[in-house]
Amino acid sequence: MKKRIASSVETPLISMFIFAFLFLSAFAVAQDSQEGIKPLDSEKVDSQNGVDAELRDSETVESENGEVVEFQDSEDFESQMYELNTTLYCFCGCDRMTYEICHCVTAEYIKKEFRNALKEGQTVAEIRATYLEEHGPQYSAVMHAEGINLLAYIMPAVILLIIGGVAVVVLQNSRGNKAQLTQPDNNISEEMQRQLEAELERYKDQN
Amino acid sequence: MLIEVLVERIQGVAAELGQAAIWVSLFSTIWAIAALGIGLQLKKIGLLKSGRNAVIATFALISLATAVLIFSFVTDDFSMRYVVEVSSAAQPLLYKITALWGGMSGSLLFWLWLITVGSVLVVWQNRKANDTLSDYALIAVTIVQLFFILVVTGAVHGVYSPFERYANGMVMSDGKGLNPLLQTPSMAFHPPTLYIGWISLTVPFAFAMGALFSGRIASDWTLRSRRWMLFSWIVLTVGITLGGHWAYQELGWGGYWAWDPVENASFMPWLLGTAYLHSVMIQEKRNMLKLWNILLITLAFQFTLLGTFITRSGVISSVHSFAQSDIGWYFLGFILTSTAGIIGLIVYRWQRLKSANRLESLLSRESAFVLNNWLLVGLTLIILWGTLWPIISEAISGEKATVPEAFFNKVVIIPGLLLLFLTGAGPIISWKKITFNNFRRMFILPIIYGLVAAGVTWFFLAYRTYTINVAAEKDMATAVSDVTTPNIFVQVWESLIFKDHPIPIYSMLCVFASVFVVVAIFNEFYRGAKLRGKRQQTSLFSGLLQLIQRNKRRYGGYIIHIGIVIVYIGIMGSKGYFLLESKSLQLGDSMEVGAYQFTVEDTFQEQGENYNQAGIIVDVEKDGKHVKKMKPARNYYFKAGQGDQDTIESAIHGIGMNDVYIAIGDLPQDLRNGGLVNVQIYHNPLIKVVWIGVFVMVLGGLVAISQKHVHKSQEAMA
Repeated sequence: MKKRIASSVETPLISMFIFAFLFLSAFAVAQDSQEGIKPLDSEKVDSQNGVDAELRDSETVESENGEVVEFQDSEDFESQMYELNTTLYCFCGCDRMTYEICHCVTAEYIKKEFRNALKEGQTVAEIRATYLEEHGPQYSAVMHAEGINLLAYIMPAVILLIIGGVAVVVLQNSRGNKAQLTQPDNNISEEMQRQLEAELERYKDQN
Repeated sequence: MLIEVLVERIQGVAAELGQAAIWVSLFSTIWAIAALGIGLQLKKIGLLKSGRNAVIATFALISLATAVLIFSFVTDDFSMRYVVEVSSAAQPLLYKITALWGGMSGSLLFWLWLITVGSVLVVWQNRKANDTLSDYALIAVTIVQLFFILVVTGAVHGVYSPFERYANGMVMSDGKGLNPLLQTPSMAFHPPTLYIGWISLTVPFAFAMGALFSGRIASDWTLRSRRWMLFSWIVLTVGITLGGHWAYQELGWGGYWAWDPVENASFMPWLLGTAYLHSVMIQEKRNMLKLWNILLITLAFQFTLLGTFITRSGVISSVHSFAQSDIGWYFLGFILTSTAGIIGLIVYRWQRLKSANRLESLLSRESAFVLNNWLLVGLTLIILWGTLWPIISEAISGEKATVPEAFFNKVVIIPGLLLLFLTGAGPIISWKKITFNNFRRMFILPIIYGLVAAGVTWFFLAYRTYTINVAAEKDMATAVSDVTTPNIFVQVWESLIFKDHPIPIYSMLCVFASVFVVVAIFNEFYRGAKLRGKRQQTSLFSGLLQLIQRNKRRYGGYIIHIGIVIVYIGIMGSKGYFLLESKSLQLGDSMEVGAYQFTVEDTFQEQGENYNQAGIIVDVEKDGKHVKKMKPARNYYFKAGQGDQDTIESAIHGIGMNDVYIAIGDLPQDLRNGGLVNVQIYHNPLIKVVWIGVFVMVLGGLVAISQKHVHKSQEAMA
């Protein structure tokens, strides 16, 4: 059996296939800079998304301790807003709706809070952490392939490999040379063959 | 007057009549199982007939109960708890009827009724053949039926009977109303189509169980259930698409699929059903994979129940979970119990489940089918894994995660693309073993076309990226004139190579595989039609029609494959290249998305039968020319049941294969006095292609299902 497989072109082909599959899967997971398939023009989306006209025009903002801080709007600021809006789910009850797409009153309010927090000098990571602490980790809309989540990302490849492995083993074992095959007689049609088999099983049943 | 009196009289006994019908059906079902079981064991025709009649009686009883409940909805019988929970007097008639499946109790009754329809059809199918395999299958269907009847009676904890009245003869003045999200035409048809798809999946499962009960594992159970399976597949395809269409129109997020747990629950049985439809051909053709087919159909059926567990138990949150209670746990119990029974049967029939034939080569059509099954089942388990990950992560780390859409996109993309490639490779690879001639004749041309198309895609997408990036820096008109200058190739090349643009690898792979499939399948059609035309001395077109007519199953399948390619292209465009912009705007403000300019012109208000509508009028222009006035709105329902009172009414305008889609946030009171409304505008490329692809898939399914006799397909596959 071993010799026969080795002489075949199938094993290298299957190995190449598995290798290519693993490589592409790893590539898909590794593209973690943006969640999902990012629109090609996301740079443009970033620059305009979620801009609130009322807040966009304000140049100062009052910090928590009452100080009036000068605020300078920038592209970086908008990309930070975009990051917050796309990586956190709204807690309003509309499940799995990020702030980018949620239309509810809560979303409007929270987005203003994000803007204020950013203007006060908080980082995206700090705002995210505060939000998730307040509302729960289930409102995070990103799942980086790290920590416990690494298992979530690895498992699909493992599932495919296990099923694939089982399939290959079963197929290898079920392969045989022509002498071993129990091919139907070519003179008998397949319909006839099936009927015969069915009859035979009925006969077995009755006895 | 007479009618009112009559209605009142019937209302007086309706609930009791419905409840009595359910209880009597419990006994008729038990009788059916017992009579069929004993009849088969003792070979008593009289008992078998009695069992079949009991199945028909159960159908009549459940039909009566369902009719009574619909009557109660239509006549606003607010003495009944379920009617109060999901209906109201002002609700339009259509939604009073569809309220039947708008809540837990009614949807279970509806599901049960569909199962009884399925069982009666099995009896009818067997009316002349008098075959015991159908009787064994009937036992399996009625066991499922029994479970549903037990749940619908209201005797189990966590779900009340749809016929339960309020205590002390209390009658409410009005109902709470149906969830507004369910008051749409898509939702009127989406749940029933899914239910019908699931129920019709129960019948092939029952035949598989019949084969295990009886020991007749040969192909006759697959032949009998073939059209059922195809029917189920077609209906599930329609149902899932209607769900996506509903999400697109009603949820206001511009998408149609987000890997929500309930979406996944409907998609997983579809994947398994698709796998079964392929692998069963190997059993019919080569008498192989008998065990695998039984496992597949069992899994497909169990996944319909698992979907219900996920949807109804509340263990995983979803935008689609409209009816939650403890009921999901009963489903889990049933799944586990029935699985144990099925495993027992498989062990008992182990010897007969062995394949009669063997594979000659791993590079053959049989192997392609197996590979296809590997990917389809693998995808199902991956989706299940992602769906259950919140529970798993909570069990491991104590923190309940929410799995984002992006996770699923990442983990399914490679198997999904491989599957697309197989859609073309499977039908052209030869049976038993591939030869060099077969490869050269069938594969070379599609591969060349695919590679060329992938290259063109790369160039086109680079051009698009370049256009948009230039537009981001300058105004659009200048940008377009810039990139249409003669040195465009140089500019695109520079943007491609030197400006660090990612290669759109998935789009290129998708286009390569799609073109490969289309060329491969068209080649199959062409060669077949040409040969037939030559033999019959007729035109190529007549040859094509004759070809399809003669082998509906095979060529229907090919049409489905073409439909799948179209869907993939639509998904690639709409998911990968949509534009989204969101702004808070005052009246008179404008914003740009792509080449279009949108101006908020005015507000409007309208009144519906049971809601008020308020929205804005948006003028759409392209290059300074008026295109369309769009009216995104919010509906404020008077009665909302368990849902929110307001819904988003997106405005959608089709431009070719693309959509412009506008959704708005809450309308402020002071909008006319400088107030701001949040406006989200999407440009969804190729989204119509998705719907067209599904239409083609269904068309192919209908062609395939129209073939009555399988022996023709055997010939076709040879």
